Amino acid sequence: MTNKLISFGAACLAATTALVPIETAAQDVQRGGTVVIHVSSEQRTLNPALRASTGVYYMSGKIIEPLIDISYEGYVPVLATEWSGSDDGLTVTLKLREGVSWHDGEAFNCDDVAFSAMEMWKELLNYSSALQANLESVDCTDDHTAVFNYSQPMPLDLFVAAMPDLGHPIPKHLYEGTDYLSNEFNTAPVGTGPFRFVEYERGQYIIAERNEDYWRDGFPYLDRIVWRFIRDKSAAAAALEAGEIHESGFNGISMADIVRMSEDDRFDVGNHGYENNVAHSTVEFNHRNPILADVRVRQAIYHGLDIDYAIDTIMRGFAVPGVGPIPTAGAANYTNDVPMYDYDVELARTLLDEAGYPVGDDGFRFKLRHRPAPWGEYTQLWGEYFAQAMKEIGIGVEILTNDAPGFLNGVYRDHDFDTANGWHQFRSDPAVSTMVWLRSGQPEGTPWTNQFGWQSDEMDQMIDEAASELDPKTRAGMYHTIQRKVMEEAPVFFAIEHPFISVTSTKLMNHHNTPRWNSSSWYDLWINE
Amino acid sequence: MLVYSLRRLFQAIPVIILIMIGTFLLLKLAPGDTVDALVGDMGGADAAFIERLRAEYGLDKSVWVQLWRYMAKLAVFDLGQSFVYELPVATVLMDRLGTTLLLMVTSLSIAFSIGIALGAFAARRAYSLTDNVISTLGLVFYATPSFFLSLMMMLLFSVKLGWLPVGGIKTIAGFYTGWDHFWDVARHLVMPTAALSLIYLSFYLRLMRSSVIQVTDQDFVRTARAKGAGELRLMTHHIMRNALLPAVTLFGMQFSTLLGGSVVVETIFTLPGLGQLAYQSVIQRDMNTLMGIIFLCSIIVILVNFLTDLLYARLDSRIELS
Amino acid sequence: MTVIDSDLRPQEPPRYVMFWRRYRRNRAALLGLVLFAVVIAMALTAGLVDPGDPLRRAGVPLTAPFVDPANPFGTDQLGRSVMSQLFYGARISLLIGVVATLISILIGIIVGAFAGYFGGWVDDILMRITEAFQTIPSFVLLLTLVAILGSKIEWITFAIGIVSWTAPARMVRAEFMSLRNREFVDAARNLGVSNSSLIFREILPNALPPIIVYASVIMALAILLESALAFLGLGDPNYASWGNMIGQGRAVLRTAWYCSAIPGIAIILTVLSFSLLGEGLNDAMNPRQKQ
Repeated sequence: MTNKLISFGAACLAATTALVPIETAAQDVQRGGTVVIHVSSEQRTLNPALRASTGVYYMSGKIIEPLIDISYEGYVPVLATEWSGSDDGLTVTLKLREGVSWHDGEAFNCDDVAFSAMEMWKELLNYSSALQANLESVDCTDDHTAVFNYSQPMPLDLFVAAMPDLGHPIPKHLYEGTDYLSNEFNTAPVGTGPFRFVEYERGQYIIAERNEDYWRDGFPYLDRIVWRFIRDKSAAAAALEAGEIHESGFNGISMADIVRMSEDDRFDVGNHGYENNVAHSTVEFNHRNPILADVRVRQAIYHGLDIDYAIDTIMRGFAVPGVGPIPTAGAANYTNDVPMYDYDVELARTLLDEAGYPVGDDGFRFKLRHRPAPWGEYTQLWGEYFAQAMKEIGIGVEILTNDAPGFLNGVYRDHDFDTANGWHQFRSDPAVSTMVWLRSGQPEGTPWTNQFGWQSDEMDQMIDEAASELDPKTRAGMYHTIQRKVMEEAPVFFAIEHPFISVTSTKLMNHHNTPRWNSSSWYDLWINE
Repeated sequence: MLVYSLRRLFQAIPVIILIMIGTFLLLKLAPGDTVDALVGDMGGADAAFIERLRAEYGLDKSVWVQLWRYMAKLAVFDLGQSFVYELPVATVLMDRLGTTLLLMVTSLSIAFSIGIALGAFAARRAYSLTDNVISTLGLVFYATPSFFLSLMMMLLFSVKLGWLPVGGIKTIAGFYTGWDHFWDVARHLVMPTAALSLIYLSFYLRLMRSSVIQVTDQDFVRTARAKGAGELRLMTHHIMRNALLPAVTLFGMQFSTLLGGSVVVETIFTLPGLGQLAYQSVIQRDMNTLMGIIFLCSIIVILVNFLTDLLYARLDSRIELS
Repeated sequence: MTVIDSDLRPQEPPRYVMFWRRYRRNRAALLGLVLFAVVIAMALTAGLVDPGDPLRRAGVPLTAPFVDPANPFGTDQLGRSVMSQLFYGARISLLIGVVATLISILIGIIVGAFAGYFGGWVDDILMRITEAFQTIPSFVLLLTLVAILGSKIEWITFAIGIVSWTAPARMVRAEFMSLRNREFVDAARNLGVSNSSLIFREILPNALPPIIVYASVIMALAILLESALAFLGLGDPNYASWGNMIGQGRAVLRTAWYCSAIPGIAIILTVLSFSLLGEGLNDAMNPRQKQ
């Protein structure tokens, strides 16, 4: 098991033949051209300061830039050029880039950052509003220096890790005094990025064109980016093959087609460029059910799941077994020194017998009502595999299928389920969106939080301490303990870790060259035609 | 005649009110609301954020208050805001209506004309092998799930042969005008139109076939034949004229069926029409948009029925309308 | 002997013989009957073909047909036998078809009979309701109902029944309106027969034949609707159904065509058989049409 985890990177490369990002000498670069990108679902808003979602960054990331981005070498300056934290953790100071202007010609300065932070990141931006809950004010000591003041210590590494996703400033002069949620610029974004918004045809496409006044001299290379909405996966695969689109990210086509296209010379296929966007396939338990509150039952269920088989058949090898709530992308906070549950049907049966649940007359020990998340092929098959595997160890499973609001409501508000399966998406730092899966006291009706009726004082305390620990080393140690604890108690299974997969035309150059490439600005992307 | 048709128009008003109230209450029974769908799309949010959104959309009020507010607005033809698009529903619908009408009118016309021709042809050779083959083939097309047919066509004509575009209504960033634009749209419509019309073809085929067989049997046709009327003249002047009636009625009644049927085809071919919008509105609980679609449907069905009434009267002067 | 024979008037064959003679004149309808018999046989023998759970892991995932003798039609993404699912799927498809049809016909008969028999304001109200249901696009209504009720097979079947009762209601109403003033009804009414037995004992049996023919149309439609729901990911995964097989198989359409093509063909042939059956019944019950 451990070996397998260490060789994760190698395994990914083996699975994805043509995936080394192509480095090109500057003189080879072709300028101009239009790149067409597949998007499977439309977004209600394109304002990344109001919606934290990869679906939004996929489009708006080219138009609106964050303060800080992440590269394979670490965090890199974008609109902020330097950052530092005070010793007591109560202030974070950012130096902002000078000579940058919004697409409408106004200059970008500290007022925009202060406005975005106080009015949107703190108040309206999902996930960020919890992260910035203790943000008291942002002072502009000069036009290009922003000081963030906190009432509780804010670890600098947490702040920086959150910025690529949760740190997009928007132009104050276009939002101030308006109703933020219905502001017209939410769907016609104005930013500082390499591409400027041109047109949004509902249900069809979005077009952005080269920003002639971009602050990085000589960039971008492309003339135009078109995002094309195609909801049906087979149709998207057909469009790729017909050469009508150049990239489909975030598993936009079916796994079988992904595997098929990985053998096609016209495409680069792989999960490179998603290191910052990994997710877990989960199994969630309703601990209000006394059977599932018994740790032995949950451990037996873990032993009854053939994770390797699920990875091979459902994820087609593009995944590794999960080792707790923090994935490999968690860097220092990640550990694989945790107890694991090998696939062992006999052991699972014995454990269930010992827990006091022998096989009944109908062939079942007990029955579970299982809700699979309707996020498409992955979660649907994973749910059906769960049912299949449970029958093997004598647990009957009835699958309850609903659409997305029905599922979210059934699990996270009504708690009307025994088991459920879905995704946990990791967002740079465990404190952003991961620990809410384990911390008790989450308000009812909040999706992807601990609505499982599981409560552990010890866990709650560890989570709170880690969130405000300033020393990165001590903090990492705390998260390692949390991971071990989660694997022992198994209140939720973070069973499989999988990055997303892209299919990209080999005509594209400099693609997937950062760990959150699909969300990044693509200033150096070019097309070789 | 006009009085009768106008009375029918008037009668439609309570039906529309019934539909709107019924749909509203039905949608309210569904688990979860548009905020759940939105938060799902965003990948999560905290509790305060969720509360604020719900208040913003007026979803924190009781169902009856919401219903009253909606119906009061509807009375002055205000369809409200779309939750998903953050635009007036009327704008969203008008955006989509063109595509849907284009798709429907072309598919229905094709299904109608080919179906009628084949049906009449088969009926003249009733119970022969030709008739059996034509009728059975029509049924095979009817029996083929439309998504199956669509995917197969896409594989053949777009991927293997590269003749037709995979989907969409026009070439993106093609910026065509005039005839180029017309041909561009036409190329995009070939497969979806074929998928829809093949299904409805069998309706008209069967209807026409049995009508023709029935009518052929009637006295006035026998008389005409006895008088030595030519076969072609008989077909066009007597039989077709009478057999067309049920086909025209079906045409009028099929608008909403067709809209339902286009959900799948629009989804596969990424056509920005009302069918796809309706499906999205259901799963995103975009109440106002879905209600708007149903309202628009009601209006269209009533108008089409009004027109078929008039057409009916023209085609068959024997019908008493009182 | 010969004398006696010639004395007798030529005997009318029994009704069912006449029926069969008229039915078999339509060759396509005979084909429909054969196909229908095959589907029934598949549903009945499912337990013999595979006594186990058709959703269990039966082999290596995505085995092609005719490779593994244990899974002659191959296996799907989760290693489930395509053949077992196909046979068990016949049960589910027939069940959905028959039950949904019964529900829609039952509602149709009640609404249509009352509207047609009583006329007046009863008719007015019932017809307005019918119009309302006809105006809402039926597939959109179906999607809404499934969104509300969830994708349990019972609810899917119920919802299909709910969206398809308007046509039978209109047919029953038309029959009742033409039958309610016939002599035999008047005679019974004069004898003091109650309204309910007039509706159900006297008129209904005479109004049934066109409804029976129409039932085949609803059955065909029910199977198509279930497959469209499954295509959109709204099928019930607790049962092997042809719709689910296609819905999941289409993800592997390009590499494992058989996962969706085999149940696809099964659906086409079954729907075809219902439609042909309906045509044959129509011919057999309305002999006037075909001289």
